[in-house]
Amino acid sequence: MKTWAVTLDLLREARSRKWFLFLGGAITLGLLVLGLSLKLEVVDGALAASRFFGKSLDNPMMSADVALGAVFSVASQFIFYGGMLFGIFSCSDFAPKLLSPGRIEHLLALPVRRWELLAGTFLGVLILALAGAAYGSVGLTLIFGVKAGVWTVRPLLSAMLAVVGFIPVYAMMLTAAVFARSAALSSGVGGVVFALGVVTSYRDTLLPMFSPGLGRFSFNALTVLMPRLARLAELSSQLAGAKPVSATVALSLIGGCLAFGAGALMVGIWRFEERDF
Amino acid sequence: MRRRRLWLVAALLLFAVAGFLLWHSDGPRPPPPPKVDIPRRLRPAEVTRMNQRAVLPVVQPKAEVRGPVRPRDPMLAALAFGKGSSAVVFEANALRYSPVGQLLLDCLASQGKDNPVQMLKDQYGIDVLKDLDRVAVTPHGLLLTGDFKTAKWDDLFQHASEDRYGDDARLYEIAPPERDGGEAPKPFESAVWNNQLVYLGNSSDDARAAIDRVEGRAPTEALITEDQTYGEVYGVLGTQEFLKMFPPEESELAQKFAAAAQQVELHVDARNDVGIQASIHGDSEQQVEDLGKSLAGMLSAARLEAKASGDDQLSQLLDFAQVQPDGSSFSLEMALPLDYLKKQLAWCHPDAGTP
Repeated sequence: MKTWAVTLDLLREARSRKWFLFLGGAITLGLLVLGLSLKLEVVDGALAASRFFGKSLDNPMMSADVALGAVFSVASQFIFYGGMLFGIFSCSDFAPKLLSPGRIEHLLALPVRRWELLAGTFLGVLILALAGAAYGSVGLTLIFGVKAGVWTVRPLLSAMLAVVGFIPVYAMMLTAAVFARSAALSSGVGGVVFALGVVTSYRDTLLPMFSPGLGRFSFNALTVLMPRLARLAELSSQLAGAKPVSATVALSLIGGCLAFGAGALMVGIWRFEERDF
Repeated sequence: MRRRRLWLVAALLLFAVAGFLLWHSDGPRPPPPPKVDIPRRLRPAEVTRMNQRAVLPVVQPKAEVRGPVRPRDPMLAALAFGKGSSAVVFEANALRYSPVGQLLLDCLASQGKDNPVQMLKDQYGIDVLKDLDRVAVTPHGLLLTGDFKTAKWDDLFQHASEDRYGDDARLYEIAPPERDGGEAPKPFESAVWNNQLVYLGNSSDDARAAIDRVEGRAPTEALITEDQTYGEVYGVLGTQEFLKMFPPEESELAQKFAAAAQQVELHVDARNDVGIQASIHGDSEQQVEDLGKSLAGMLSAARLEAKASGDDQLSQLLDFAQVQPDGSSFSLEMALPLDYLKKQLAWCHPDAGTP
């Protein structure tokens, strides 16, 4: 309950920021542009052919949801990478502000445990990310639902994967801020985790470039733990585009990212508990 | 204090879980690459083999004549065609009992009635699988060694003229069929020395010169020395042979290659998987170094391209390939795992299915 109070406090702070108003406005504008200007003849044609000919026709036109798969795939990539970068820059100063002199002493004087402060902050950012991803993906679904009659939850599911990808990144940002109160450092760490997450996704391709020995071992050891963000983005795209995905791989990827994020948050909490203010 | 440490323990546990799950999400790993032997020097078995072949007597050079010493192995003596020439020796007997050799024999056997191995045995008394020891391929012709006591030379060369030559050699010449116009084809020449060494080619002079070297009547500068006889295939390639390997449209590249590399020494280990080592020698250290680096770069680029395009088999093959610089020479090492060769030769094993 106290964690939730901290979360609400963070959300109130986010509402007062222009960054998040800008994000909301940008998503709305993007959806309006899509809704008003996208040419959907292919989809309309497929739907009309289905209605007119029924199943008797060996229909050469692709089905509407397949035609839209490519659009959803591109949108999912935009949400994943765009949302990730936006999140890294816009959320980097929440934790440093929480820890700023004056405010942290005030918070610690309240009947709130230290871990609840950090967990509340993390949860607040997570809700922001969820809200942004859900707004964009549900808006997209509504547009194509109304205009083309294709109703699907796939864009929403793929947007949730983008949030899963942001969890380890923000957990590391929050932990970095606990070690050194700096928004620049926090966003820098976010950027590094993001970059490593992309590099790690291609570790099997990159590994043969290293000579056997210490170099290859170090790269192997470093990358085995990092969340595979580019592969998660690919999974998100496949899910949005109605392409087959391996449930085992998907669950391992998601579980790995969540566990990494939770582990990083635990390190942050441990440091926060140790630290004197 | 103790409760605080629990956060750290929990973090470590969560990282371990994350590592396992993420590692698991990478999917099944390709099996570790097989360890392929690359031939680099004479091995004990090859030293024994080399000593057993040193059957020629040592020719004591006269005090006033300084020259190279004749190899005591008849094949190596016969192969001494001079500096710049080429010769590649196949240890036929060793190859025959290797897994690769068995694959090739199966391919030959699958040709049914036209199996040349069976035909040679039935008609001419030459059991290639038992009697043949080595085959050397040179620009001057073929040289074969082995135990050919049971060979029916008169049947094999029934239309040839026969001459005795030197101490223990017979020369056979088959005149080509007459043809109207155009360049007259060369006659087929053969020399059999002591039922151990056979020359097959188109030059009577080359046949006589080879016998002269074996019997110690001609100066002999070894093209392949005894300490280079390691592997199941070995030999040297001169510049002219390099140039023939390049397609005509790559003649400019061929000339550059030939200008840098004067000789390639080749060794192939085929006892199980196939390991290949080619040492490239040249006069200009700088040019050889640049050539070695260029090859290494091309191999790396090809490896990455194969990996990126998902061609795991080619990627694994290129993983084995590496360039080792060594002053005015460098060695290029490659490997062909047996499983890969089996897949390539699956077409002549109907039971094995398609590759």
